[in-house]
Amino acid sequence: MKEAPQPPDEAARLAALRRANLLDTGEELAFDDLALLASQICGTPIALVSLVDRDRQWFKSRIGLSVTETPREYAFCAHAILERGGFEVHDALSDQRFVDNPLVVGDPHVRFYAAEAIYSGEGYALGTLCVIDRVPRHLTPDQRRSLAALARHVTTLIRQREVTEDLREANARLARATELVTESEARFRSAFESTAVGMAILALDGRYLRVNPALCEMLGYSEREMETMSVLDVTHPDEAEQARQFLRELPTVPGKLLTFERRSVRKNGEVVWSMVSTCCARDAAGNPLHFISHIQDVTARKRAEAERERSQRTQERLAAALEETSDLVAIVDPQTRIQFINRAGRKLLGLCDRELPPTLDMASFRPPWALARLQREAVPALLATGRWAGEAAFLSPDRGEVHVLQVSMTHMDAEGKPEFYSIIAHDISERRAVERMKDEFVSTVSHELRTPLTSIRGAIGLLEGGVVGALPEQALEITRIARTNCERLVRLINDVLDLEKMGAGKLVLHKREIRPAELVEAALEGMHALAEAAGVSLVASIGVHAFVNVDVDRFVQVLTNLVANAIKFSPRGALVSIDVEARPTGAIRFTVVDRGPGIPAQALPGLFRPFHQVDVSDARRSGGTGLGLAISKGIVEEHGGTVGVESEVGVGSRFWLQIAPAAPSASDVRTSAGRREVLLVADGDRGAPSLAAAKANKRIHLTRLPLDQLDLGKLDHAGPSLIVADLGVRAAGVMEWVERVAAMPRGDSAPLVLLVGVVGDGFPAAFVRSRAGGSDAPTRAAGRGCEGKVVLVVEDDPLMRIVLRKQLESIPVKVIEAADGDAAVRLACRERPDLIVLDVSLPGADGFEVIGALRAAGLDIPVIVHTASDLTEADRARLALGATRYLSKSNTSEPGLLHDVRELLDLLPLDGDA
Amino acid sequence: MTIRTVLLVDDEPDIRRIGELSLRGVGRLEVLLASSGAEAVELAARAQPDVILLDVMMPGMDGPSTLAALRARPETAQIPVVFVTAKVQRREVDHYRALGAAGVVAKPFDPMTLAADVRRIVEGRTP
Repeated sequence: MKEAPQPPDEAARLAALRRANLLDTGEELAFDDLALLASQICGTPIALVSLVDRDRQWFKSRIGLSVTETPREYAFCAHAILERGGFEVHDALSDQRFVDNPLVVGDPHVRFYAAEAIYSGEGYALGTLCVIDRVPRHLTPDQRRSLAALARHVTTLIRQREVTEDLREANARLARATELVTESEARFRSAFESTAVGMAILALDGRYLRVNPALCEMLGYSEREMETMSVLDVTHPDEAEQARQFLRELPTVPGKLLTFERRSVRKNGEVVWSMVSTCCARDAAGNPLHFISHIQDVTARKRAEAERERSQRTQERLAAALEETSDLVAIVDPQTRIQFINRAGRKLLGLCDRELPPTLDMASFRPPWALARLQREAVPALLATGRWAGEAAFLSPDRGEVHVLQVSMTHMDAEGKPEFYSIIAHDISERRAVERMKDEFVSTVSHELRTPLTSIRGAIGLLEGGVVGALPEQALEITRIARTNCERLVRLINDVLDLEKMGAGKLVLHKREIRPAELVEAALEGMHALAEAAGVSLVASIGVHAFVNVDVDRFVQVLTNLVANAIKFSPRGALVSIDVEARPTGAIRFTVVDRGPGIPAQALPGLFRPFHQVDVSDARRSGGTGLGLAISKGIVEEHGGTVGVESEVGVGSRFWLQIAPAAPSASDVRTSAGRREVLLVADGDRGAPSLAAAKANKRIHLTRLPLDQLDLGKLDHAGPSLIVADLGVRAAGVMEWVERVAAMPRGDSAPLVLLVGVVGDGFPAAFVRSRAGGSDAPTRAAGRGCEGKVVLVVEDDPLMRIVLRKQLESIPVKVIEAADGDAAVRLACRERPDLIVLDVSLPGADGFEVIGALRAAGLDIPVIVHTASDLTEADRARLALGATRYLSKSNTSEPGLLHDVRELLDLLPLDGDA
Repeated sequence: MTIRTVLLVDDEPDIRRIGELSLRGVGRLEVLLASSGAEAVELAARAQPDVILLDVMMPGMDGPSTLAALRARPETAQIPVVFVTAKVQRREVDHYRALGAAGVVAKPFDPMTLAADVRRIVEGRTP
């Protein structure tokens, strides 16, 4: 037996067979009929429609055979499908291919076989229509043609089956598709209606065919209105041309989807930014039908974008500015790791311009002291207030420690926790160096200038003091000029240094609470000599009870300056007053009033500027430095106060300064109902002229007391702060009273005592009994060199004698007294005093006669001439004995007298010397 | 305590001369002179003055250093020292006192009162 070879296209043929969907199907009459016709036409007992499968042949129809299939290896049909145009085996037993075929040697004992192939629609031979007989034979040509025709018919049947099968499948697909379309249509409709995105179907000319509610809302038109409009009606004019172009182009490119941003104009004229996606829908033939558009409102996004862009531009500009600024600008995280640092900062810290490692720690660029300080001060402040400013430093690889003025801020995150800190640091090392240099320079200059001045001042002083021999009058005058100018130069240097300190804010104030009266008193104490020399009277009126908180030395310097100015510019015999009052605002105002020439209005504004004087010659005439007012202004301003001046030419000037009162304190106990307690001790209705103003002042509480009723022992802390004793009446007990006043302890709690009317020469104030004591009044502790010295006081006024004695005993010296000229001469010759304090107008022999007598006696004793009258040069010459000084009784202050006494006593040779 | 001898220390020869004239001529004091802090310490140890008038600003050892050196030596530790300086603001005076100075005399000084000022400072210090 010989098995049939496989056809060359076997795989495709088998696939076609499967597609034909014939194998293992049921009987079909159409096939069976054709098989029957074939068996009858050919006169064979067996006819089959056989399909050749991979391993078998299967019979779709079979006539005269009961089996439904046989193995392919025995199949005659496997041979037949290889042939086109019929296949015939006349006698199987005589054919080598089939002689031992089981179907030949066994059932159904095939001897004759004839077949025509049947084909699929694609032309693959699927099997055969065959006829079989058990005897050898031949088909006639007609039979052969009929078999072929029948086989063609089977092929047609198979093709019909295939088409039917395709149609059924297509129908099923169509049904499924229809189902899907319906579903999608519903989804689309729902989406179309309810989505927040605007949707529209537009005709090819741009008319709206359908719009959804979102689009209507977006554009502000109703659906009905929209359907009469074109997309061009709502397009922003600037974009209308582009829209027309899209309408033209879109239909020409199949499958194109256009996405673009567009501005539309709402019904109310507002502009809406939208993101549009449009495609063109087409029919099955690809002809454009309409446009489908999605329109999303992106106005908010656009605005945000614009805002972001703007803020980004601002940020870029800021960043550029930060980058370029000469200060270090940095941002660090809470672990002080540097997140950003600008160019100046990188340069300072020696960092390269490339990207920095994210772990770079700012703390590693700080010197230890700065780090400690930041930990101590900056960190708590940044956490508490979010801000800190102060001095710090960085370590620079090039420059070492660099001092900076640093401002830091805390930047919080959304939860309020510190997210990062910004640092702005201004390099002040140069300023520091300049300041240091300036300080050194000023210090050096002051030393270098004062050193020669010390020699000059000393040399002149020795000459003038007669240490190297008495000088003639003219030489004395010249040395005096030299000395005063030397002193002025010293003042000038001091003033310039003061002013420099103030300009640099380096003035250190040592403030304490003090009564204005004490400040005035301290200022006036130093001014009596000047006032006396100028023949000017000083009057003070204190109308406040409040304390002020000031640097006493500095403040007295200011008041002294103002009073000195007032004295300098006052004519002889004029009055300079210093008043203290509370302003309605509560501020304490000190006013110094003079009766000088006044200041022209145009000169007032610049008055407090350095080296400004109304007349250049003023400075020289008045011996000032031109800096006093500028310094005064600086000091007052350092106290938080203000200064000012009012003036009228020909009338006088009022210089004032005012500062806030100190906060009320427990020490403010001497006030009663906001008024100052003043005790006026006087008999009858006598009142001191200088108290006239005080009485009118409601802030002063004035108590009158007859002299004999005052018990000094009862004056204590709660007592009056000022006692004015009018001693014009030589009442019994007055001298005792004055002695007791003079013996009162000195100190802050003691009252200020003003004795008035002691000398009846027309000047009111005579002698202020200061409460100052101890180290504050150096004159009082006058050298022990005076100890044991004898001073003769020649004074006819018993009250004055007591005052003088008490003053002198405080030095201390031994005092002997003479009430008239004769007694004076007698005592001087007998006691040989070391010093004589001499009144000129005396009963009996006057001062001139006393000096004459002492000269005649060959005595060479230092004298202080103490007189109420003005002395001419001739008078002075006649009154000179030893070293002689002249004092005016009016405005004679205790320190002024004592100064002279001490000085003259110091000039005396020590015992056993010379 | 009565002052008889004073040691004046100043690097300026003119000031030394003026000071000497003033202290001797007006003050009737015996005057010793030194032109530097180092010299002053040696001289003070040897001559035992009653008081030392010490310039503050001197090259080399300045006033405060000299004062410290004087205090460090037993033979000069008790001698009162008065500074002579242009800086006489309260702050500076307090500072000098804190250093152990008996007091301060202002520059330029008045030659007619220099001795008296020194006496007052030194003698008034221990009542």
